[in-house]
Amino acid sequence: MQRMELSTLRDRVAEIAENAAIGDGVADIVLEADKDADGDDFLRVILKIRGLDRASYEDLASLVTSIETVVGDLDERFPSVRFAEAA
Amino acid sequence: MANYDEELLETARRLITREAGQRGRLPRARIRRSVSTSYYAIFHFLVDEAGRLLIGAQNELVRRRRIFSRQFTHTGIRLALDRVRGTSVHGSVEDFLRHPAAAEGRAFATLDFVRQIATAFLDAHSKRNDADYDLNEELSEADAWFLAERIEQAIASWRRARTEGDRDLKQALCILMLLGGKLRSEQ
Repeated sequence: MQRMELSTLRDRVAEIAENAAIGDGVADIVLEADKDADGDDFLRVILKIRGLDRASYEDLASLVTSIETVVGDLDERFPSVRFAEAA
Repeated sequence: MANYDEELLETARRLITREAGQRGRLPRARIRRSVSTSYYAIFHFLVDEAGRLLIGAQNELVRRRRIFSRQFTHTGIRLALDRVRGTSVHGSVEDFLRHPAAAEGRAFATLDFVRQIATAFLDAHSKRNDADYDLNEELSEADAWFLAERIEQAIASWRRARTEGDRDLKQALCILMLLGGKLRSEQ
């Protein structure tokens, strides 16, 4: 399976986040490639969100599932989505 | 008595539960321990399920199941579940996972309960890697509670899938986990 440029993947994640229920709160997105302890590749996707403590599980789960589906169709590396409170 | 995976998830949640009146950021160690403990909840759930499906669920087989469960590796389970995390099953394992009564040659969509357990495991595996080994990578309180919730829902979804076809797929997937996600034809 293919691998995409990280900037392309980040743009797709940004589109998904914009259309999400908590899209207004997404202040920044960091997407980076890394290797796990076995040396296997994965993508670390960090969503910096304003008011993260007020987000519901359903809203976050919907966003994560969309990112995993779309990125999963474009790139063989698993996208592990994380959340951080925006400064 | 609660299952071991339930005890682990309860522990993971307790680690990030605040005392009455407690404010401010939780200690990093509690967040990282919570993420790691949630990962072990789904890991032990899967190897326990494999034992029940492949060895047998009877009480007198508990020692055999526990010996069997030690044959699984974290990497092996990850590689197997990576093949079923997408909207369709990876072509290399399609024939192996397909129900014997299903038509050959047709696209094999991943069932929702399989996809849920696969993505929850892969997510947990990746975060546990950072939680235990890479202190440069931040993990938030939200990461910890989201992961515990996600794993609980994935396990519940797996348990609700009880048709004959679901059981057949679970059994084949457990064999694939034992084989480390690889069949001889692709080695």
